[in-house]
Amino acid sequence: MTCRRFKRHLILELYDELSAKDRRKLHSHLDRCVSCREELESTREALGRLDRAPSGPVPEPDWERSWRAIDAGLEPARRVPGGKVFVPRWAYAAAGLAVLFILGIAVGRYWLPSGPSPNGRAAVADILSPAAVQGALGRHFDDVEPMLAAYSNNGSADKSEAHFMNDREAAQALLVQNLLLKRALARKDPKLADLLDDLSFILTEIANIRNQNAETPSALKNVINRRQVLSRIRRWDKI
Amino acid sequence: MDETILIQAAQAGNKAALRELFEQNRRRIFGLAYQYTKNAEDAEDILQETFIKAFRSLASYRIEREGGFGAWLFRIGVNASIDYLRRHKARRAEAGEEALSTVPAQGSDVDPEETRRLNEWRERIRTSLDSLSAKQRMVFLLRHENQFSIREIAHELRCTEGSVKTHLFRAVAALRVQLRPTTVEDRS
Repeated sequence: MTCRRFKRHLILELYDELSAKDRRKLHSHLDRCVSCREELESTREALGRLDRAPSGPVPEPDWERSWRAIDAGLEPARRVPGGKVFVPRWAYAAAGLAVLFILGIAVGRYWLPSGPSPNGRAAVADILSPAAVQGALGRHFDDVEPMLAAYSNNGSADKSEAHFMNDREAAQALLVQNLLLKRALARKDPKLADLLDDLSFILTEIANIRNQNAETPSALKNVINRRQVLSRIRRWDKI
Repeated sequence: MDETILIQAAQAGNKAALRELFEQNRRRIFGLAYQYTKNAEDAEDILQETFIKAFRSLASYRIEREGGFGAWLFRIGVNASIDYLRRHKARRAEAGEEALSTVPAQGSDVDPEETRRLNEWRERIRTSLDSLSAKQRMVFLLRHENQFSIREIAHELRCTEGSVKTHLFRAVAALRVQLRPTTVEDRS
């Protein structure tokens, strides 16, 4: 074997990547070849110098900025398996509600006669048609009811951490809806205000559940059943 | 939390799960990118590219096939680093960027002469590494600094062991020439 073939083996030897057979051949060659021995030593020395040079501390990047960039980079392409764009269910309800409110503001500002309302500002429910209000509230209850039913039936029995994580996100979105509806409708209907208050409490608890060992799920089950929240929702739906 | 559950949630588009995966793996990926580029800004770009690529292809991730999310992500990070350097090498060379941060003299007991020598040496290492191709540089980094075996590197880079050996041989040969002692000081 020529020196040229051994050059490659010298480097593999330094990284302990030679087979036993190749190592024997290399060392037998090194015993006879001064030039290869010198090359082995100079390579070892160069790599050693590289190791001894202090690399300095790894800087700490702005993790939050990086996350924001990643999140923004994902936005147009966030998809679920199967190729459909991922849109959470509550987003449709929230978007519908937002359109309804903007419409309400427009109606109030441009088409209704101006003048002070009894409490200084007109409630949206005063402006929108009863059918529109009924629709918004119905959709809200449709979103809330399945989640509450699950807690009412099972407590935490069948829930994994992933479920809790999904529930937390859904509850946060539903809380916003609930708050908007409460502001819009509470003044007109005290019973409804009471129901929306209970929902507000329950959704806040769900939005803050941290793990399945916590006592919250069973406490929630008690609240939902004791306050008859589900039957009140279903009763309201029939109106 | 169990990684399987976390990944399933992330695959379903759950933002909190994606964030958690980022939190768990960000340091390792940034560390790799910084080792590779020796530049914090470039490393941050690579970090972002890696996670965006990974999260976009999460649907195709199979736990049983990939050997863990961390390993899969690391592989994406390796390839993102190589791609990044290929794209930006020309620009960096043109701009004459200071890739390695210099070591500032701190305190009264630090010898300014020693600091100067250290910075010069680091600059030589940077120049030496810049003389390597993107792939040679990654092979060298994984083998020399991260102690990956040649077989593992071949797996990471999806190439043959022979190809890895060739890259390593060329990288070390180039570095040996570049880092040859040139002064009496260097020999000491």
